[in-house]
Amino acid sequence: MHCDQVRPLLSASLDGELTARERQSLEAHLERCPDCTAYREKINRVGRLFREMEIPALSPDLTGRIMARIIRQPVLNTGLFSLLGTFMLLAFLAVLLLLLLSPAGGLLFALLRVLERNLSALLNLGTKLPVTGTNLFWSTALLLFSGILFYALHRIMRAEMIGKEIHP
Amino acid sequence: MKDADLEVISRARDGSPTDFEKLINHYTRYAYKIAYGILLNRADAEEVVQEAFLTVYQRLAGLKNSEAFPSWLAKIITNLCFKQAQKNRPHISLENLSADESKLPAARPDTEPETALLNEEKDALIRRAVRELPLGYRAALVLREFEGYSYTEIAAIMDIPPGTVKSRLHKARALLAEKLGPEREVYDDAL
Repeated sequence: MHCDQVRPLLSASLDGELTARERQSLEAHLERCPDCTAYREKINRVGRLFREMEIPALSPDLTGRIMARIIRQPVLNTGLFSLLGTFMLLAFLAVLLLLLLSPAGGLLFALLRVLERNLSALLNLGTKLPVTGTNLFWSTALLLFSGILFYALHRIMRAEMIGKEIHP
Repeated sequence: MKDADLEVISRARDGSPTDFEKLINHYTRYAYKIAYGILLNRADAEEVVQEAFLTVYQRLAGLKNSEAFPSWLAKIITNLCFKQAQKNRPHISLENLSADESKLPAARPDTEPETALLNEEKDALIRRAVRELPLGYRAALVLREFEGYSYTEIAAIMDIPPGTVKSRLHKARALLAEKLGPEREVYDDAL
């Protein structure tokens, strides 16, 4: 083997990444080549110098900065499940509110009965409404408003939850 | 990997911010060391570490094998370092970098003034030589020398074949040896 072929093996030998056959060839070459033996020592020392290179101390507030950025992250980054969770919670709160508004839940059950009887009529309502500019405007506005409402509620709840966890 | 490490990772994956904070504290030094070794600039390395943990926060739930966490984090860090270096290329000069580093407190324990001076000189020499290495060589060298990753692991982290890892490490060491060649006292001290 020539020195040029051996040099790449020297680096791999320092890392313990040679096959048994490569190791044998390398050892045979090193026994009769003082240049390559000296070169191996040299790159070994280079590696040691690199490992000993001074690394400046970390900023003490780095973890705090990362956590602050996590809190500020947009809600969409946390996934669809999180949004669905918020929706479910909001629906649950709405049901609770209705129960509170109707003594003994009588009104709620009455409403549910009416809804049940007129379900098909309600479902048809959407398709029977004429597609006019005013209807489109109000439906878009309602959709946007409900979206913003879900988003805002989720942000508030999430920030409060994380805030409590970090600073109980 | 220790049981304590696995515990920290699996707790963080379950979603509590307090547990995620523990994960950050546990792995910040590891992440920062890799980022600093590649970028050789504290501010950039810290920026990369922040970005990396934000990515981890968003994607940790998808990581099936907790034991793969350190190499997964190393992969995120390495990729972000390449992006950061690309971003910085036009406006960072070597003069600015050395001025930035000179103000920093040392991570090493206190030593005698003479030894400290010698260490500083030695450090400046190796740092200058490392800066001249191509980024891909530097990253492979950092993963090998700082973290002791095998060629197969480095190949997986950097998305390159193991043969390329082998050749990059050989070339990186050869270039460093060439650049530090005449500085005999540097080598003598490293003995």
